[in-house]
Amino acid sequence: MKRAGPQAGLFFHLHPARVAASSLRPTATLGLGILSAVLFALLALSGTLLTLYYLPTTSQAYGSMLDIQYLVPLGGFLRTVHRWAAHLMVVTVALHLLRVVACAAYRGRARNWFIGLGLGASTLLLAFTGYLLPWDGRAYWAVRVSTGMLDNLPLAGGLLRGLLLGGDSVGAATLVRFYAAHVFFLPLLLLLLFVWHLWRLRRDGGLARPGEPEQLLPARPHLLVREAALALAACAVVASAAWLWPVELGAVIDTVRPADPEKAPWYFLGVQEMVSHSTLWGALLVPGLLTVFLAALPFADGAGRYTGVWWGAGRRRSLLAAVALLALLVMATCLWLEWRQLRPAGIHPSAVMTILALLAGVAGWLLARSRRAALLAFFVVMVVALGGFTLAGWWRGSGWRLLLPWAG
Amino acid sequence: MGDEEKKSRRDFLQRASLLVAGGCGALAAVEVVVASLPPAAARRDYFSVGHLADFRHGTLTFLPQPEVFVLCDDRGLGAFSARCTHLGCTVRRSSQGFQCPCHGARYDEQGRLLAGPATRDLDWFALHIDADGGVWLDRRRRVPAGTMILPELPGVKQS
Repeated sequence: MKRAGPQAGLFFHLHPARVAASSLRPTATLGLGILSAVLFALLALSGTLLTLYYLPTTSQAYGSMLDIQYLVPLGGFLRTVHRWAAHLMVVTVALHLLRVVACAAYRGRARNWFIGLGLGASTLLLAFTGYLLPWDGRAYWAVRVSTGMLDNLPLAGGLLRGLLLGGDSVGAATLVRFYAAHVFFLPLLLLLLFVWHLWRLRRDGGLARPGEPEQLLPARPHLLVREAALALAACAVVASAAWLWPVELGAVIDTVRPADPEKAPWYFLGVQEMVSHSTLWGALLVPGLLTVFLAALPFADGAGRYTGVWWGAGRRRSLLAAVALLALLVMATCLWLEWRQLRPAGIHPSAVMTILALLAGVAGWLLARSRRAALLAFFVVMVVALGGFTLAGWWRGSGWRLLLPWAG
Repeated sequence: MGDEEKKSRRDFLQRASLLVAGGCGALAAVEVVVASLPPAAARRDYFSVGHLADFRHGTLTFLPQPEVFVLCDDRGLGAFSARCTHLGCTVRRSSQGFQCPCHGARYDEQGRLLAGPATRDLDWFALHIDADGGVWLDRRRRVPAGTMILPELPGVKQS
């Protein structure tokens, strides 16, 4: 007999059974959490199929990638789907975090906020460990550049690097470690955290919202229909991207001669760019400050009205827009100076942007007398900076010269 | 024996067993970390660089295995690392000397820092020569930049 009640089945113990009407509006969340979950499912599926052919040893990995790409029926498509879904998941997870900060959805939910940070870290680590597996030149150098940055962490840096690499440099032990982490440990961790995340969301009463009592609708069909639509849309986007822009394998690995320039995966390009100005700021101060900010956020911001409302009260949005505009202007000026090679040697753009972010935070507090406005002002500048540095890293060319794509 | 006494004993046992379990867990965690660290044997520090007869004046030889450049000129032989002192990428030859392709640090032809995010010169290593004229490099022993050894053995040929 089929039960039609809202709580029927194991699935509805995790999935909400009822959902507030306001949470169903597309602008409430932009569907970013659901999209991330769908992309993870797609990655698990395509990844499982890829393990049937991939061989995780230094002598066989590249060859097995060639087999997947060119011999296995639809293998190239499968691999490209996996890669595009991975890139997109990094994007949707990052935007999801942005959404939660912008809506102050962490308020009173510190535990789920930290579970979310764990999910974000797992996503980045999964993307990063997967980057090495093709064992082509691009993968090798990207991982060598990224893990080299760890040497700048005081005390634990060298230890962490040894744990990751399993040796002095990127080699056979590294490949096996990354493989084990990528196909077993990290997906398991991510799955456990994901289940916990959803369960906490239910315990906390669904999505954060301003708090007026409102009508609850049954999740089936109201939420399920929307989830199915998002899932289909995500699959369509990934499949089209994989079809239109297939990802080729990089050149055969050359552990001696790096290409010029040699770049980290795109989600670490911002850090690489900042590190190319100053190791202290790029590898230590900016990531450290952001980590402290994210860890302290649910405690630094008090309770308040407008929880679940984008950017808080209406009159503060103009303040934040002004801050964002100023940050964009300063960032563009930094990039222009870098491009014309006019940057004074001791001035680090990452330091400039960090100080601007701190000043914006102070200004937000002074002008709006609101902790949330201050935190958001700081965060907006840092996001603009990270975006700008990622673009700059993207545009670096031979000899580490900044080449603006439209300026030749 | 009073209830209070019983309760405090139970508390004590509870705390003691928690402490023991926690200690065991911590030890196991340390063991996992230690076991995951690369063994010391994985590091190699002593490399054969070649034979004295192999080197010519005014040459710069790149050795992929320890990633060093061996410089040979009228002052003798010297060896310096090809690993950028910034974050460990292998530097490339450039018009001025060397450049790192990862973050743009630049060095002159003897590995002295010119510009970029690195803060010190490329590492120079000690070389020594055995009785047969074999040249060896010891990666644990750093020497000041520009340190050359002038072998007394006849062997460094004039080109």
